[in-house]
Amino acid sequence: MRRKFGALPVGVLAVALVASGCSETTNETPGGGNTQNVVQTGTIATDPAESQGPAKAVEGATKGGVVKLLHAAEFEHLDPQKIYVSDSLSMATQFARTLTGYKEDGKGNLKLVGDLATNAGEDVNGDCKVWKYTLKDGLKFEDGTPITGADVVYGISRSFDPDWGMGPLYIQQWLTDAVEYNTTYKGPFKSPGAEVPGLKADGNVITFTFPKPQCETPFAVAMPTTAPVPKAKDTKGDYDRKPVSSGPYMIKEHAYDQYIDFVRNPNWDPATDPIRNAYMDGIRVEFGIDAETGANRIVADAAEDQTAFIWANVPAAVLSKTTSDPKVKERVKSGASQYVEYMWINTDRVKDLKVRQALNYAVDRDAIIKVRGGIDQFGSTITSPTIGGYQNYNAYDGGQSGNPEKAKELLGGKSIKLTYAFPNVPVRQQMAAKSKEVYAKAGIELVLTPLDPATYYDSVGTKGNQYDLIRGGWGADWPSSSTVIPALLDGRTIRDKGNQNLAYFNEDEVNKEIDRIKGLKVAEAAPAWAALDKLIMEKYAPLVPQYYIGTYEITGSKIGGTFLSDSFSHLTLNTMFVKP
Amino acid sequence: MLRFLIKRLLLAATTLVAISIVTFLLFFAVPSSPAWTQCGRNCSPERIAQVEQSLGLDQPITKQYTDFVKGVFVGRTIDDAGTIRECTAPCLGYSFRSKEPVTDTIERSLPVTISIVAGAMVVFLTVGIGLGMLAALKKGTVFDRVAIGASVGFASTQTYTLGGVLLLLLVYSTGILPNPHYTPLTENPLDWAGGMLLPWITLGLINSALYARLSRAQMIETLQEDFVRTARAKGLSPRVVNRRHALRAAITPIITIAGVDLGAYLGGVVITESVFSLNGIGREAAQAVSDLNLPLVMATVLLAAFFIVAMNIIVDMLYAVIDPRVRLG
Repeated sequence: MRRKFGALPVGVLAVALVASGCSETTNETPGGGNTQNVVQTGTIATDPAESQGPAKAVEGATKGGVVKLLHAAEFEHLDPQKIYVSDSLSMATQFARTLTGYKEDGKGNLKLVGDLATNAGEDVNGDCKVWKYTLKDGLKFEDGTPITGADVVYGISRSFDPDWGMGPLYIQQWLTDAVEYNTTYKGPFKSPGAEVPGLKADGNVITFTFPKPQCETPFAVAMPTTAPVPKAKDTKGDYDRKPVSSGPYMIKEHAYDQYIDFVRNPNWDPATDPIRNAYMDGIRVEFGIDAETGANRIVADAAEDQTAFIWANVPAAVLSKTTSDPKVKERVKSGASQYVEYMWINTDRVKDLKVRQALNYAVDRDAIIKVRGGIDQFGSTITSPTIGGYQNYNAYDGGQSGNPEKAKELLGGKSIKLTYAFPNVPVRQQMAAKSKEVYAKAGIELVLTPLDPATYYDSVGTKGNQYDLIRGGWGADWPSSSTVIPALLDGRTIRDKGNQNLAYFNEDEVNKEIDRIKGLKVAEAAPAWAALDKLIMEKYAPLVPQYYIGTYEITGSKIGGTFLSDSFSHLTLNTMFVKP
Repeated sequence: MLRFLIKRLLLAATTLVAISIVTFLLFFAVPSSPAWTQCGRNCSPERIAQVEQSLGLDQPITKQYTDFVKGVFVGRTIDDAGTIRECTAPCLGYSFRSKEPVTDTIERSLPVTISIVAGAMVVFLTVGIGLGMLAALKKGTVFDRVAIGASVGFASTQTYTLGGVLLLLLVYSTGILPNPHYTPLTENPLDWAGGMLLPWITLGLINSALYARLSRAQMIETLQEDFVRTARAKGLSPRVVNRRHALRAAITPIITIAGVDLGAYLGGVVITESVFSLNGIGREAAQAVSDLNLPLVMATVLLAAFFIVAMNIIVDMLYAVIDPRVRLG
């Protein structure tokens, strides 16, 4: 349903992500204490006032202090055009501002607003093909140089480099309307002097011109692909170690694999920033501390760890300590993430729909969730509750622990033997063993096939592989199914190697519907995606959704103001502060 | 002595070259590519090929090996996807992951490992040899039985068990000791020792058990030797007999083991480093293997081999100093 907006200039995106279908899930997790309710109110801001700084003050917050992130391993990337995993994305929010960004209050209200830009995007002709962004006044890099449209365009241009394809590819593929987006333009190093196709900067105004309608542009430009990079300070490959900051914090010292010290960026102006409060004086990241050590230290709450936190789930071994002591329990933040765990059914091999349905009826989600300590949540849909338009359903309702009888009935007394591929790591071994036990009750024998974790996706992503069932999971890049269903279930993307559609599922009906929904505005697309989600499961059952992967993170006793961000599923730094 | 040294050094160099070749060949025998670990979420066969090219992995193995050797002696220029990097000799290559000269990685992580090992050695050599000698002198007494019994107990625990228990008891539950951490010795010696205390105690206790048993056995054997009896017969005091005659002879084989142990530990104490979250050379090596980060794998393997080879030579030379019966030639 399209909402009506009053105070908006004509053409400014006027859609609400979810007008209907709000859902509320109360999470049953061992932590209990600060379980966040997942309420789908994520919207794209329509009032430009919402994109104006400074950020709304957090109650009780004070300035000062240094927080400490205890992290297992060095960030995969810090170069904004290479970042793509959740911890790097969460960190980047503090040093790489983007055209748009997510404003959150921790109560489920997620709003996409203009970050560097004055609003979430202007759909110039109302057909989603031309998008205009105007930069705010007073934006500066850490060295005091003003941020211009050219810096944003230069940043995006770097993402075209053929050697750098590790970041998100949406904007590049949309601008060129090609999966292989860098056959002609190859970025500023390999195509010097050439212009990025469809992208223009005129002073403070940046215009994207896409060959096809791209109604989700406001979300795509929230990814760090659009972070500005000053050409004069681009150290190419070495930029990954020390990027130039446009956000409230900048890198003072980076000892690879050991630590990073972020300090205040004196040239960041809070008046331009609607998202970040920047209460702390600094952020220290210490590497090499695994989740178990980190969680143990934070539970113990020694003086030096009272301002520490982790961006990893509290491991099962430490879980009981966080539930037994109420004082520890209140420092835990838990909730659903955008990630969903699947058991893919290879439709090239398991062609009988009844078998696929039986697999869905028989799955004992309760038992499987318990293997990981109960942090995750029962889930039977392809997309997670953090997605706009999410609708809960269970196409093959066998209750909390599955219905093996119903499965047997569907199989008509046949006994079935299927191979199940999974990465050979402890937690997957345990879950596979549990699945084998669960399916045995329905007369389905799983032949467990553990594979080398390093080459796992190489093996299962090859078309014509010999696995019937395949472990997998997926998370949306922004709160829309458009980064889930087309990526996973569009049969036309199937190639010889490197597949993400691990069901090797290809149905005309679904492909056509994907094309249709892609042309819709966000507000209309959201319920249509939810309907397609359900249709795929009811009619084709190419996978078994197992659970929504939960997040369960903990902070020291002197950290306040933070909550699990719905955009990256980690404790947010935007509103975090150190208690006096 | 000089001839001995030259012979041993040549042998050592040959060993290192052989190890480097074997490591190189093994790396390419693995049915996977480091490109996979860097390819990220958008991985496709085309991207793999691109990454392999940028890492220089599309070159013939012999060319890659000669480039590596050339780098060690005269340095080389590395083209990392358009970013030109000068790597001066001794260049062990650029880390695929951290995009820095591998020598930088080693410079950063080796002091951590040296700190752990140095302190732990002091603990296990003094405690271990001391207990062992005393037990030998008091053979058959209650002290002997308790000391040796306890040593069996410690020797059978592992770093991950004892370390975990000590962490829980001394750090998480009571806060008696600080979280294990590394501060450079030059920066703050007190903090350096404080952060290392737990790894020293853990590694020290486990190993002192082994040394206690060894030195007890050695000492008992030596005390039965003819020359000890002669010394006693000459009327020397038991103190002089035990210290100047027996101990010096008994300690020689222990020094061999301690030397080789030191060489092995300097190559990385992976488990100790992991249990106490210390970023030493051992963890870097383990990480490099799982990332298939060839330059760092090569460097850490060679470094570990170098330490062992070097310690063997040093131990052989020490023999001549400690044991009057040994002459090198």
